[in-house]
Amino acid sequence: MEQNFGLNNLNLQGIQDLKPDKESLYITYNKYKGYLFPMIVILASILILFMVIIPQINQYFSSKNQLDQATQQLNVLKNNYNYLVSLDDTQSSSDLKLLTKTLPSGKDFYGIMTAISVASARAGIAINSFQFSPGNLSKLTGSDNLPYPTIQVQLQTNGSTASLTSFLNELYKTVPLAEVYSIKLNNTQADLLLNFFFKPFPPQNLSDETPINPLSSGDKSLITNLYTWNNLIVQNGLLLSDTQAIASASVSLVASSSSQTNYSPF
Amino acid sequence: MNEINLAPGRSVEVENQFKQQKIVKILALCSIICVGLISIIFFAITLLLPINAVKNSQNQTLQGISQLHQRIVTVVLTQDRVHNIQILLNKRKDYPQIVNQFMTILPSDLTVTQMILDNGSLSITVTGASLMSMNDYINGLIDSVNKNSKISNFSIQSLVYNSDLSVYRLTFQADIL
Repeated sequence: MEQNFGLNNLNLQGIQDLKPDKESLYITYNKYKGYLFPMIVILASILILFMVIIPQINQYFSSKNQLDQATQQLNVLKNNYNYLVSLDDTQSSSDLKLLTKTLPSGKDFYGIMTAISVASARAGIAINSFQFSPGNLSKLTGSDNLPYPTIQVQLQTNGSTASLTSFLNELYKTVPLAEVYSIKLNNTQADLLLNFFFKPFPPQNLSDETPINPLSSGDKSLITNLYTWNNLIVQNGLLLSDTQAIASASVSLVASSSSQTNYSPF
Repeated sequence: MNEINLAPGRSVEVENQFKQQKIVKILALCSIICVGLISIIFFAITLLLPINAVKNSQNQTLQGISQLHQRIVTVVLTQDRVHNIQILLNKRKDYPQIVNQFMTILPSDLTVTQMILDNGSLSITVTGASLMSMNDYINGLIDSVNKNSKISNFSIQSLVYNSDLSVYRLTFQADIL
């Protein structure tokens, strides 16, 4: 017990020695008081640097980034706007009509029948019979979910091999777009299986900010080439609708009959 | 002696201390000025970024575009059709061109009696009385097949003489790529 008390006394004395007295604190304060204010200012500057300036710099760069993005978007919008303004409504709607006749968005039976009729007339081949199974009419995409659904047409033709070849050539330049699936020719009788393509329009998820790329020269030459295909009525580089075509045909018929009357001496 | 010796030492120490204090004060002043200046500069240049002007211009252009929505639809649909037609035209096997190629070199005294095209395989039977013409046709076929990269596995399946009808019958087959 006594030994313990001795130890405690020693410890207390050591602690008392460590405590700074007021006088020495005052001396130290007096010695360094000249540094105190500048050090506070420096510390405040460092604090301002970390708490204000670095966030300010970050904000500047994020604002600059925002501005760059907004400028890019604005350029896209301006390009889109300029392109759209420069479009010729009549020509572009004629082009779309032509392209839709070439690759219809649905089962175009009238187009298929006229295509076969036009191609056979041009090739001089007789169509004995034709048959096609349109499938479920409520299903636009056909029974199978192929990327390019088709309507299959079975034809029986009668003609020479040369006229059959000519028919196939004409069919490949006739709208709607078709492909020969199979041919079975025996002397002058031929059984053909043809696939006519169609494709529904894609869902329109149009955003004004999506860049509109003008048609490339390849695309334009494809369109120009399609205007020369069969089964189309084109006037002044524009595709006529069926009613326009009928009107135009009747006008030219009247004109030709009236011109014939005028030129007739009697 | 001791007082004389101690005085100059103290004054040097005090002078050093003053110098140090001066340096620290200048540093403090510089640091606060720098920090202030940098802060003002960044505030000003952030404020001067023309984000609002660009956004206003965007809105104006969007208003203009919204009046041309019908044209956007036309352009998008046109591009879709062109894209798909191009794919189909590239994908479509040009059978008429190949059949035509075989027909154009056919001598006039030979006739095609049978032609079967199924699943990319084309088989043609040609009949004629002249073996010479048949030979010319075979040579022509070999030439044209070598020139056309879309034809593969070309083979002559049979060359038969029918003594009853006195005609030769040539059957050949080719795969169309």
